[in-house]
Amino acid sequence: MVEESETLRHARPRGPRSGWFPLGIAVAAIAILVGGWAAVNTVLPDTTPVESGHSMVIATGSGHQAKLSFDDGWELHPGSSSAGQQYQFSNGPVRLRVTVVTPPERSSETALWEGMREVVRVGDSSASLTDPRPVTAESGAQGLTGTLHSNEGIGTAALFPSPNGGFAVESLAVGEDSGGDLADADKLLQSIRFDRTEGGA
Amino acid sequence: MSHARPGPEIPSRKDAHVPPPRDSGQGREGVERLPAPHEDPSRHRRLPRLVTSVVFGLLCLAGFAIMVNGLLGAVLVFFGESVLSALVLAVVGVIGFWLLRRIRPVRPPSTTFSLLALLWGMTAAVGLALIANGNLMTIWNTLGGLPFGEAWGAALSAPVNEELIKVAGVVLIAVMAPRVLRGPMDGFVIGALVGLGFQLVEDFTYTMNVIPMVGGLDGPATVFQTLLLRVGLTGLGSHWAMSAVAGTAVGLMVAASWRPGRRHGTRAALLLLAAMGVHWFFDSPILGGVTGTVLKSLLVFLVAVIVYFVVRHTYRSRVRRALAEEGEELGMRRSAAMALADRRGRGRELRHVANPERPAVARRQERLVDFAEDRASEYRVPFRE
Repeated sequence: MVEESETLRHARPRGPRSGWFPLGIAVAAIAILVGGWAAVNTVLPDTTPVESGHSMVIATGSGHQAKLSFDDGWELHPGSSSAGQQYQFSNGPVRLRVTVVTPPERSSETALWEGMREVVRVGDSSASLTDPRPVTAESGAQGLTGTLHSNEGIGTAALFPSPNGGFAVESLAVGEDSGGDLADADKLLQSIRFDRTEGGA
Repeated sequence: MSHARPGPEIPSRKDAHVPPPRDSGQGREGVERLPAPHEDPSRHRRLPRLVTSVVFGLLCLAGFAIMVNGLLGAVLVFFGESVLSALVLAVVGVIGFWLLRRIRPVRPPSTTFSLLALLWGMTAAVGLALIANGNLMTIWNTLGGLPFGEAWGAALSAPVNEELIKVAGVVLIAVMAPRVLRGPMDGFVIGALVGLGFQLVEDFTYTMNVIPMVGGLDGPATVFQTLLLRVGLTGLGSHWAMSAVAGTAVGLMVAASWRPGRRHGTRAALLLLAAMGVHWFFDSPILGGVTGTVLKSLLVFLVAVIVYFVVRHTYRSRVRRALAEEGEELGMRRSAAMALADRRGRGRELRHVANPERPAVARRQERLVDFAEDRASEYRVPFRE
């Protein structure tokens, strides 16, 4: 054992490194991870065009899937989107956020709207929703819609529960001016449809 | 009966140092002596420590600001739920902090640096990882499409970003406090504490993120279910375990004075890769479902436990041998000296001493253990079997 300890000492003839070495490594690693990926992102496109006429599955669950059909001009923001959970789209000045929620069982549309009133305040404390009014999509899906007011402007909000209530699709659309350019977003949401999946109830 | 007591054979010294060793006839006395335990660092060592402390503080502040910016809105809207979550996690944190400090053999690590490790995990690591993960997830979503990003994005982002940023905190602590992190055992415990801090804030973030995902309804039940899953079901094999394994790698590097040979370098690299590997497996879509998640969590725990017992066994052996060596030099019985290697042994030895003498004996025990840990962690003990 004496020999072993001496071997260990002699294995480091150059002596210990100063604290600058590990400090430099740690700071460099953090800088690369925090700044490096951001730098890579600058050379990648911020958005991905959504093909006109494309029908996108945005949620699947409880034997149903929800689809949206897109017209010209829509783009998907991959960085702010997550498959099956949240999508960020834009079309010119219009920004549309679509969120898939899985509410507790037997939640009514009204309860979902009240929950949505709270959730919109998370991102913007000045945001508020008006009382909802019923809306029917082109496919016949029933939902609620209302107006979104915030310091940033006016928008529209909508929610469509899946037929058996297993999940719901919520959306918030905001534009640049007083809300007049939101027709494209309203039209997109009107295209929502809930199809049964194989083996679904 | 303890021989670690004030007595004629071990005269006390005002400078609180253990007396120099007796001549053993081997001619080695003085050659292997270590610096006094609390020797002031020289100026060329102080500057990197000072700079590291500033960097550590700034990164913790940055991470905290990032987390506040990301969570404040949810906390204000779902205030009751956030308080509930914070309270439950505070209890988990206190228990975890106590347990992880307790698992260090011989003595618990420094309270101050244990708290700083926790702080790094709760602020800098989690905040900076949030930025890094967000950017890397965007890359996967853009290059591979959303379904690919959803399935593999976490597995291809978190192990790299989170493990490296967490372990960077262990490195910074090793530079700031070389006496706190002197080898693999310290690296394991400090790494585990960093991971615990990270896990606590990540769990809090999850509870706040899940509420909108259930439509903002039934918040308290959602918080409770989320915590049950993340603490009760997968908490055993979570960030604390991964970071403990990665922290052990830092401990190996420290023990080699940041200049490891091939053997130590390979071991350190394998440990870091093991931490990242089990993290990758945990986040991957392989073995999905509740059962799969629990199995993956158990695997992470198992890896940490194996590393712990290997490191613990080695460390305890070295400390016991160092104590035997110190004891022999001081004229203590070998068994009594080696008994000081654990808390129970020290307590047992103290109970054999009259009450008025106990504080002095306890101080002497501390000094002996100080020296033994110095010797053990620096491989300088001319061990004898």
